[in-house]
Amino acid sequence: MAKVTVDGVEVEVPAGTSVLRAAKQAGVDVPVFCYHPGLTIPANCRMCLVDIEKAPKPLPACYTEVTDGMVVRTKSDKIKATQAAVLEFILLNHPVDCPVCDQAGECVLQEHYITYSAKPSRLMHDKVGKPKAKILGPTVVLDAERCIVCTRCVRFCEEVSKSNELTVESRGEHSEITTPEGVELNNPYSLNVVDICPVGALTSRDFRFQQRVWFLDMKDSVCTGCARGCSVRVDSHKNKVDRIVPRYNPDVNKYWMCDDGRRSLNARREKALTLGSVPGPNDTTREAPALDGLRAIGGWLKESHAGLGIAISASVTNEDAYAWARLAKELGAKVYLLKRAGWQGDDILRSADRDCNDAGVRAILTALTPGFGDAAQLTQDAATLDTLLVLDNEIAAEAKLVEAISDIGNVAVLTDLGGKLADAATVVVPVTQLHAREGTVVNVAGWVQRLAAPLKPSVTTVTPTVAAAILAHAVLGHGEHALALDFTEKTRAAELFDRLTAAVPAFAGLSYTEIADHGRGLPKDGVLAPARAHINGTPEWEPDPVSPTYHRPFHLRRGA
Amino acid sequence: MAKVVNRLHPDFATQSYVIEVFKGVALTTRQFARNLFARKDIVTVQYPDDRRPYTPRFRGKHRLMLRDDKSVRCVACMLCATACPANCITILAREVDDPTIEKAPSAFDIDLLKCIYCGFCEEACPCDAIRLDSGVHTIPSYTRRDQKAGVINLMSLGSVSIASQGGEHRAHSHEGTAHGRSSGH
Repeated sequence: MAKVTVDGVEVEVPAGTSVLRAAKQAGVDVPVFCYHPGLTIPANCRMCLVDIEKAPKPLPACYTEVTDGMVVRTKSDKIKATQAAVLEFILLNHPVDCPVCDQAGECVLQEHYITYSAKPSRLMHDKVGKPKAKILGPTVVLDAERCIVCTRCVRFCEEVSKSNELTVESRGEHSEITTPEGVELNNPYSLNVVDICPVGALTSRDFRFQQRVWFLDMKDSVCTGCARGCSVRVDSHKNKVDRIVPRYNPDVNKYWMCDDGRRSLNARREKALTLGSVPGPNDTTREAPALDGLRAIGGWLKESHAGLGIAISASVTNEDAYAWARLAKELGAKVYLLKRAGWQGDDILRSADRDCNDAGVRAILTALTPGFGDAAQLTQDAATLDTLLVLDNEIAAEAKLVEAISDIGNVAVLTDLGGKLADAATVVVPVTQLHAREGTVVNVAGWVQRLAAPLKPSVTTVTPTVAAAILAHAVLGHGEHALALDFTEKTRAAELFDRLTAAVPAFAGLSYTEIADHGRGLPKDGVLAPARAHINGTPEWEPDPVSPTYHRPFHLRRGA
Repeated sequence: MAKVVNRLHPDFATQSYVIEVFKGVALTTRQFARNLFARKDIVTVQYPDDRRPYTPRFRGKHRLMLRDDKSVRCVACMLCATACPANCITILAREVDDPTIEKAPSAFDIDLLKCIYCGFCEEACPCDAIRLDSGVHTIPSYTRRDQKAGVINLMSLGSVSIASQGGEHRAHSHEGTAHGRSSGH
């Protein structure tokens, strides 16, 4: 351990800690551009220079290790002058086109300039011209003039994605991030370079020009693209999700997430169902809101729910799975767990299993409806079933399964997206879109996290839990369903989670509020892992002094 | 400081209003007769046939200013929409083929019914693209929908602005390479 004094505050840190970390622990923020806690340290931006006693010159805080008895000053006159000078050099050829720059509002350079310099440029010549809007690959666009050559993106491609697509060309003020001849920035993690870019040099082709960042409402949520369940932040405006960015979570995804996870929202935006379909007169079908569909299903079940099968996708939330498992148990239905088609996994983040809640749904079904089947079992059993309800059709709808299902008299699919199974179904019930319903999911490593609902649900849709309550109501009659099941259509996700933790041993001891931040692991052998400690209300996990803090420049109204 | 107002203390004859009423009727009749026979002294402005001149700083319907090539100056930075207290400006941005322009509006709608004509958008604009100096103050329409002024409508009032767009130290083409271009706005 080493005792360090930073701006008069004495802290004790392990030997080998950087001055930057020690300063963070002392509550002192040292400005940085090139340093990123998830990458190696090049110390090339010189923004973090600090005064260290007995050192002849200012030293970079990110790279200098502490020694016992070290005295660090970050706010001396010398350092203030240094910081202003560093910023003046960095801004020398910067176009300062903040009004048209997508990064404005969450730009580290903007923030540091206001805080540490705020001086006009003294440049008397023309600025150096560089490529604007240069397409680096299918996902990312580069504005080389805005680039401050911190090389975070280059290091990301070398160290994290290990695809080595980016490099720095030329020297001095002509330095430029570029790809080697014939290579394009195209890897499954390429959009992370946009997040870590401290300025507006790298922009996402999806999000570019879509929205000014200060209009965005930011909600912490989870990516449902695969079983990894990366912690994300969902940014929305006026009831539309504009982008999904990774959120630091030391237990799941660190700082990163894959491109497919972010871009899943494009498909959701295009394919989101607000109307389903029900049989109309003379063998026709008509578009119908959720309640019409549920009324049709209720009619079937009221007649008979003898040969009823309920297929639940492994991508639904724990709460929805719990509600439907209870319903299935009450109606004596056969339960099947269906999977989505897998994809190419890797050893960075992407899990080959694409179901975001496989572990959770499995645990719930094991506890409530033991002996549930899978897709193969469903294909076999199809002949014996009279009615089949499918919850969420984002599943591997193999031709064999679709064919087998088409033999069943009554098939209903509850889904938020159209698809093969929905096409084959008699009744389609539109389910509230993903970003408008709360819930929890369990990732491949047994980590429970909460989904946020930044959007308003469409009035023609219902959540799966509400659908389950309405069906129970239709079949069991008024009043009784609430006794038979332990929830109604008014039960919120938080209450359902409480009931779930009581009923399913795998979830015992968890609480909805405790998993809010970065989630919590499922208990192992009945023992809950201790939660990560908090110091002064902030989590004690690895401090992240550089991820954009998203200061809002103005007091802005939310939504409209 | 409070203003001292001297109260009038009218006598009984005035307070009874008998004579005052006749005085008033006489004034009205005289004015009526003058308006009828000697029209040059008429006080009333015959709006809308005649109009009082507007002051130069009068804020009327918005207009979008133009570049030399008659394209819209707006760069879709949305600072006007950010500054707007009535939340009446909706802008969608698009990419442009011209390498000297970063982005341009694909839609620029102002809801004239929501607008309070405060002029904050004009102040926020870094490009002299939006102005409220058109002098148009009556914007009647038969439907509410017609009160949504689109980009074409707003540009039709616009004219070429002489303000420089792009700042003082533009980047220059370096050593004749093709990729040099001025900064975006």
